[in-house]
Amino acid sequence: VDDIVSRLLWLPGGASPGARAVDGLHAALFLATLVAAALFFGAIAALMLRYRREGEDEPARRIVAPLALEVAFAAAPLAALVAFWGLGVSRSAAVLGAPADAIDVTVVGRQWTWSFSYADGRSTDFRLVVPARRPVRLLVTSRDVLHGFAVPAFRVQQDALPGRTATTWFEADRAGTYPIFCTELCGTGHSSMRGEVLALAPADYARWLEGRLPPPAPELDLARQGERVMVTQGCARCHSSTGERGQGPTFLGLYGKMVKLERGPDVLCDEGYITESMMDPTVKVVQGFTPSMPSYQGKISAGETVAIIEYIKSLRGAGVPESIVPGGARP
Amino acid sequence: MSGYGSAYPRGVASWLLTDDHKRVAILFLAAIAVMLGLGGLAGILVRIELLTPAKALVDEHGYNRLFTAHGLILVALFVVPAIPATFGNYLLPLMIGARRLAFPRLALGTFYLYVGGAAAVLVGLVRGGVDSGWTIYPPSGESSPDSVAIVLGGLALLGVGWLATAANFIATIHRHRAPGMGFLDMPPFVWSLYATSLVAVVATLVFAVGLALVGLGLGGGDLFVRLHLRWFYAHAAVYTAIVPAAGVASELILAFARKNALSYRALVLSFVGIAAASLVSWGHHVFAAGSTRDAALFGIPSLLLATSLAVAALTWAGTLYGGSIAPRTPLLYGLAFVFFLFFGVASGVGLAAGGLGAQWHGTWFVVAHFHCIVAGGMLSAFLGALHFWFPKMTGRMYSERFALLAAAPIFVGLCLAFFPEFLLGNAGMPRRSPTYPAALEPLHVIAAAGSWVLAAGLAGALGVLVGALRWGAPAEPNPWGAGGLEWATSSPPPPENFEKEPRAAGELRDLSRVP
Repeated sequence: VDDIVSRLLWLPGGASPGARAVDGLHAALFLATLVAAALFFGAIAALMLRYRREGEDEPARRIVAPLALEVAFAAAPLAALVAFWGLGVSRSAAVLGAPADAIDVTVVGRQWTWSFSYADGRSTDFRLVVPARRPVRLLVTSRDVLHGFAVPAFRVQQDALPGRTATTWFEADRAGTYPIFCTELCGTGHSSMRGEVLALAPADYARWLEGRLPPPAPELDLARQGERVMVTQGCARCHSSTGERGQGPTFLGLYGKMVKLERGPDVLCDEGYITESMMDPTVKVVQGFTPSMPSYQGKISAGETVAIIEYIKSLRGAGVPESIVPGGARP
Repeated sequence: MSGYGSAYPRGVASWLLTDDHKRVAILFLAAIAVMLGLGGLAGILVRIELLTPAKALVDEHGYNRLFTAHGLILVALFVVPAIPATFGNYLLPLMIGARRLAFPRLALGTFYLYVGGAAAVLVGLVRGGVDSGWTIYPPSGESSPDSVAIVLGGLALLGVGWLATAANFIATIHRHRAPGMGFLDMPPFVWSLYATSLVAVVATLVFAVGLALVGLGLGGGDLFVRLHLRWFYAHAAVYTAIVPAAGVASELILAFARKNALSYRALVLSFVGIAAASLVSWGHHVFAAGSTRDAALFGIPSLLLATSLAVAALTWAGTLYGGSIAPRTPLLYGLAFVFFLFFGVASGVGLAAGGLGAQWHGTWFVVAHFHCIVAGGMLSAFLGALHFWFPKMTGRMYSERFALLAAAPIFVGLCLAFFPEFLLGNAGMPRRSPTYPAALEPLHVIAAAGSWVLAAGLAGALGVLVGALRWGAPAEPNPWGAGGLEWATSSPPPPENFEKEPRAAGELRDLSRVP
């Protein structure tokens, strides 16, 4: 039954205990609305038919409600609403108060990147890595403007305000990836400020903590690994592989080209320039673009850097490789 | 009986410098109709952009500008002023048996404040490229400070105009009621204008504080505080649009059911309740910014708001009992208002409940919720009022059959355009994004088709009414057999409204006139 209701309402598969609590409330509201609407508009339709005007000279009638009916008109909806509000408050307490054994992750929004800082000092961009079946408390803030951190699969949403830290939490039921959106307009790149939660099985999470995950799938050649890194690190959000202009220059045909810069002489796009642009992206900005890219220094491994370069090289011209990632590495 | 046409001065200057509240109202109607067209066009472009999951028509910046134009134009220049500035200005004196508004030249002044405000908003949008959404949240809303300043200046003019209109209405109601008309004899629409004017006076002052914070560069203040200030005004402003719409729906139901209100005092109290609660329930807009405790507390005034609306709705339905109901176009628009309001309020109850609000805040669910209220609800009420009082304002009857033919696609279009958006919100699609996961495409296609059906219906309704100006049969003083003093004078009324000073018997609303 839950599954049918979820499909009917287009809900993403609820992947956390909090999601199930909220979905119960949602189903209650949905059904109550349908029943109330059927009764209310059914009554209006019936009255319209029963008291339809027969002739133009039909006299007006005067009927005044007794006090008891007036009281009922106020009391009945108020009682229903108070009951629902009580249910909502009790459920939202369950949703918003994190258990004591939760691990903490700091979420920082900035135009237009989500960054995650973990207790061991490590940090990632765009991708929040958590263990499955373990509550995770999020400390959400912003470095510049208002952002909204949202993970629909967990029914979690928290505004990120500069100068304030707010908390929310979730617990992923299963290992998997779950999309992250920004839900508060934060400027031109608002719609590209997306990411994903990567929930790992506890054993994998332990390996990730040791710096050994996610391992690239062994059957992939270097360029394909680079394409996957590009998606997981969020590069594809701003850099297309199709020639389409994004927040940043497209990777299509970029390698081996002379690039005009905002400041300074033209530069050849080679391995050195690509690496510099990942580690120190605001120094040599391509003409016509803003220096909004974060540095990936310390966030991607040397192997991943090489894989990305290999992928960009594979986009030199004709023979663009077929995508391996569902939906492709395209924004 | 348009014989009074000759009693009015002629010429453009006589219109632009008029001190007749009826002419001011018609000036407003023309200007507001243009804004509805512009804002609606921007909305259709937004919907076309969203036909495909990838960018199509415009880039991200262009998309941000489009929905900002759509929201700002329709909220500030249509939703808030539409009913009070047109039907309020026109009908308030007529309905209480007055010859004029308390301050006739002030009424004309509010029109020019509207024109100036609208011009500034449009210049800021078109030339300045404001892309901050109609909410203009600081500080990202200040990314193009000059054009935002122009828009804020325009909003300030509109705010002053709205404040002046409210003061004019309050003074007129207190000082110019016909002999025999007590406060509890006033028609529901007059009560709704009174309640909404009181809210406007209080809320506009807070708006002025908020504008000063932004406009005078005092914006270093805490964003959290500024969000609260902003919604204190914006929330009240939107509800000041809903209360007059509820007043209109009441008039339509009374007239076409040919009955007294089942409970007049319940109706009046519900208007006052909506107005009062709207002043204290802004907090549900900032749930996701605050704490659980805030969410629970701000849920309480939201409950009072919903209860007041439920009392009004039950009174409307109950009023049909024992009536003599003629399902004419204006009544059907009135019932469409009730229909969309119902789902707007039900979804609002969900948004005001902590856990659900946290899921839906910032998604298309919110878009669906307020479009149910302002597009489905408020626009339907506006169209109902326009058809109902059209014979009074123009002296012409429109074709009932063609009006119904236009009303049908408007209703269907509203349903198709806005109900799928609830599901988009459930699926987690954020607002204000031109791209989305491909699985959501069918919902956007349905909504886009709905927007086209709606636009076709609106164009049809406009055609029917404009055609009636030329070909419509002359209107009797009281073509609907409705109660109310506005029907006790010719259509259109003479410059002084009434041949001789009308007297209102007690409980005017219970004396439905039968031709």
